[in-house]
Amino acid sequence: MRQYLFKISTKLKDEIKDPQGQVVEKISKRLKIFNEINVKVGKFYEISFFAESLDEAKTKAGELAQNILTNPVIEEYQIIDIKEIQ
Amino acid sequence: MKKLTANIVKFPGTNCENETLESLEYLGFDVSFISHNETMINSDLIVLAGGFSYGDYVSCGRIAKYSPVVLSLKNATLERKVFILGICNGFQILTEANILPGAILENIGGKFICDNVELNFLNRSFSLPIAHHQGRYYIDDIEKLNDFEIIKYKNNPNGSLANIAGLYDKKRYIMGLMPHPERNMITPFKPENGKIIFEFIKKTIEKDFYGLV
Repeated sequence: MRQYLFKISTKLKDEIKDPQGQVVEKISKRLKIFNEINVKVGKFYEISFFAESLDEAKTKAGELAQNILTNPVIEEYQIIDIKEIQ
Repeated sequence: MKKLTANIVKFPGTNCENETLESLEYLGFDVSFISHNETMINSDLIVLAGGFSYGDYVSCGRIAKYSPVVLSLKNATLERKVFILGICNGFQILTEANILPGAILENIGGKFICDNVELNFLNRSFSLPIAHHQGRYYIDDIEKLNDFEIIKYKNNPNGSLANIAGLYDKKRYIMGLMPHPERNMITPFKPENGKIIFEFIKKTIEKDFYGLV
């Protein structure tokens, strides 16, 4: 068994309004950091686990993301990084 | 006459179970609490009460949907007639578990809302309390709700799609609602509008499960 480290981010789908993102947009404009800005707030997960191979690790990480880390009706995820750790 | 039975599920973090128990006992139900680890469903009514199941970690209702009791609920409706009621966090659990369609998101204003709101249900208008941060109902295709009775807000407080405050699947006897009927049930909380919801459930069980009129 090999140990892998996954970094996954999740956020609301683009068509769904994100109140936290809207607040960040508002404040950014008020502070004149940006005139035009679009923000989506999400979550970041760093996960380490053991698997037989990289393929199996990817499959398991996908299962975790689809079943526990997101609700497919409203959220999407992106695997940011995947690597074997010693 | 047969005394109807009700079970209220206690998850770690459930906090409206006592008011719900008193409300149902007041209407003559034989009520008991059951654990989130329970897998045998053998009551007429099962209630997922309000609160913060499993601390609402990751998202509201996300962890509870994998609890033994919720996994058993999916089969329970196939094996025998049982009425499932999810209040607030219970509604969030039912949508997360895909027992009711759609999903529940953070309120559009980003604020926790604690208020009395006007509702419409089955041609009746009445008010009930709400108390939630995540109560904005969403569904990708509203036509999926064609066969449902809908509990609607008169003045949408949280950005819910089509003013939806709750859903009732009359074919499968499953109801989910964000308002708290148990908090407006027994005096001094006049006008006891919670009875409108609980009495509707009681009458439905008596009529449809036992043929009583």
